[in-house]
Amino acid sequence: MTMATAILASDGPEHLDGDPDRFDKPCSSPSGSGSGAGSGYGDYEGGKDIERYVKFFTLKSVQVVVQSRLGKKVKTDSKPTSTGTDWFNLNIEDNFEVLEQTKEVLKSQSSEIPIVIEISLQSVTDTNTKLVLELWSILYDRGSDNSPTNSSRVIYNVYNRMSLLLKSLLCVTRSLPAYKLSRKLSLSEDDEFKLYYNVFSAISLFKGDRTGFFKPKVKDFPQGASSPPKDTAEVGMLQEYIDYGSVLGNGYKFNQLGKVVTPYGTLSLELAYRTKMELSTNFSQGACQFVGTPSTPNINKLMIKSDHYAIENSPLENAGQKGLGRQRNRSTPVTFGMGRENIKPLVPGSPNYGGSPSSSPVTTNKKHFAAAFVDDATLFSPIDEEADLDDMPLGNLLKKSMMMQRNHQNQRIENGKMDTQACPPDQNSKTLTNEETVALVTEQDESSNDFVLVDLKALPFAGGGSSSSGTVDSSDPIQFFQEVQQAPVSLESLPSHPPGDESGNLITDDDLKTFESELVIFDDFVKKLISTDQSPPSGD
Amino acid sequence: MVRLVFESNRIVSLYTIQRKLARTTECHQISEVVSCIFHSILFHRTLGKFHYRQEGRYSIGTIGYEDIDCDFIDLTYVRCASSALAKTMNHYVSAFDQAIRDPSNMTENGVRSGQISLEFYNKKKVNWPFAAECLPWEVWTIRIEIKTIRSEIERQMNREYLGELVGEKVVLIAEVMNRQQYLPKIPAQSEVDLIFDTSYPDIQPYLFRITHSTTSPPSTTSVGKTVRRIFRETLAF
Repeated sequence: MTMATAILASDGPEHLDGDPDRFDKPCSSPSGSGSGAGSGYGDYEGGKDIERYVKFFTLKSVQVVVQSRLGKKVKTDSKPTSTGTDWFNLNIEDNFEVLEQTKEVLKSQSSEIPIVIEISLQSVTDTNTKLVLELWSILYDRGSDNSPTNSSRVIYNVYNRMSLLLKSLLCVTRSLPAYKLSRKLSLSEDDEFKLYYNVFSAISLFKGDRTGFFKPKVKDFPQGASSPPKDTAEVGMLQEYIDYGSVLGNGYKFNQLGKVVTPYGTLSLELAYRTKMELSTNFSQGACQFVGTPSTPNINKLMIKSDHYAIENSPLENAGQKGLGRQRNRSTPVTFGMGRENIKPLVPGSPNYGGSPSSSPVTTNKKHFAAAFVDDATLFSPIDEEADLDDMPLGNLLKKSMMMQRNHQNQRIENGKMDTQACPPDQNSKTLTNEETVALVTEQDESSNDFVLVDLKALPFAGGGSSSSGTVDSSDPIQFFQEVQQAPVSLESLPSHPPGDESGNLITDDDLKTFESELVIFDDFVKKLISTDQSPPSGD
Repeated sequence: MVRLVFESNRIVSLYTIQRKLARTTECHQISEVVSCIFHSILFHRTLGKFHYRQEGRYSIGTIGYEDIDCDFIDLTYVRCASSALAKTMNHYVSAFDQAIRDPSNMTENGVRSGQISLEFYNKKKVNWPFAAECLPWEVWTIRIEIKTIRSEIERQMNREYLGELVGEKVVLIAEVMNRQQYLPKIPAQSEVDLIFDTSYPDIQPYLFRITHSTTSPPSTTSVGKTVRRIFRETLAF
């Protein structure tokens, strides 16, 4: 680790000449490969220094950002004299793990690839739950029209500007929502959520457009590539595009914190951060513990798909393909098995959980449906959508039983109505109400072998009426019952000509004539009833 | 004639601060808001302690920093790790706080207001017997108005609102600081006191002073007025 030792032990440019206006030799850099003082490298001397400054600026920036998300207050001391590690005249302590990881990334970095620091919130128990909060980018753009210089004044100026930018970074990191979050969650005792950091190199092909960047795939990206692939097609194979909007949610804010223009290129610091923290309700009470402490292991590099938070790809939507639940398009309600439509969110642990792998942290307003074979016998109710029955597993059976039930119901109701209309209130007779009719039908469905007591009443039009196909000869109850059993199942199977005459009347003209002729008999009967009512009853 | 490049930065913002109706309480929001903003600015405008060596060479010390939590607004800010500087700032801010809450400070509307300015300046040596002149090169001004809070909910909302507002100002300060702008050149040892405040043991900020006023017109010191005065003097020769 000679390189590491060299870097850590190098002095900052504190040995610069005091008055930059009166310099007479190039600034001396005590360390670094082959850059002794006055060695006569000419223009390259300044370039090497600036390269070094950029590298250390990157290292220190990562330290600042990651330490600010540790959830603890930071305090470092001012020193009247600088020591070797005090780059940019700022006392920024180095977290060893973060330093190592950043160095690794810098090693594999190609010349123009920016470094990105990702701060995200993840659930410890559920690895799929991840919310990216911030994406910090450090870019160094080597311009084409460089004007190499050896002026120590210019180089000193660059150094000071970088120092200023680091101070800005320190201030701004405390002013963002993620800082408050880290402090709050570090005080809680739950361990459900943790703040994670990740440092990786990225490619921003679109220099003017800061809507995202390309992130090289860890496995495929050729190590030690000298230059990033320029061809878009080639890029597509090796990178994946991280779009700020999809990763950070709508309403994300983008800020260019500042830039330092050097004779060899422009260093800039950018930030994109989430403003809408959409998480499940547990989040506000959940705690966070920062993972990046020396005792915890490194986090593997995570790849986020650009459409990770797209609702269309939510695992809940695709649950039906794997699990027991099924669904079609979102607009029509769908029922499964014998259950009626259940509009409940799928929550892990509930009886309705249909086998989806995890719950997404992003809230959705989609309807979720109960899985098939839900043990809810009480939920049984007639299903109205016959069209869906064809596609259901046991749809045929359900259809048949449904239709049987319906027809019996109709029949009974029809008969029941006729019963109640015609029969006068008679204490001796038993009247079937509609509810009882339905109950009767239900019982009948379950077992057709049971005998059911059917109380047959004298039908109004019996005995003297015409014998059209609908009427029954009440003199034979058994025959009546048999005929009822053999009655057509649905009304549709009845002949198009309903009983009665061509005009559709059940009461034919002949019947009417009969009624009118026997009107006196009916009147007498009614009078008899009234007089019976008026006879002194027992107890009044 | 000296080419004077100046920049006047003014943050004129309206801050709402609580004050209970019934009784006057110690509302520290004013001091916290002002401290946060001015410390953030000073942090950018402070270098390490200079140590001059032979042949005009010098070395610069290192600045530490510390996080300060505000108790009355939802905010944390960074300031130089220097107890002397913190003490100086407290002195100025509490003087302003008292002035603005003074019962005699009342405008016609019944609203209490005031403003406080942080000014960075250079000293210019003038021949004896005249005192050295102060030439400001950067001025930051905060304007404060006191607002009455009537309910607990309003106080909580105000607390959060102020925290966000001041946080945005800090980001704005960072953006302004990082633009290409004028900074005084690093002086030789003999002239360091004209540019820097060397009274602090561990840090070295640019020369600055803090003034406040509770009257409606803006503060008397302004860069523009100074420039005009210099031009007048120059032309008078």
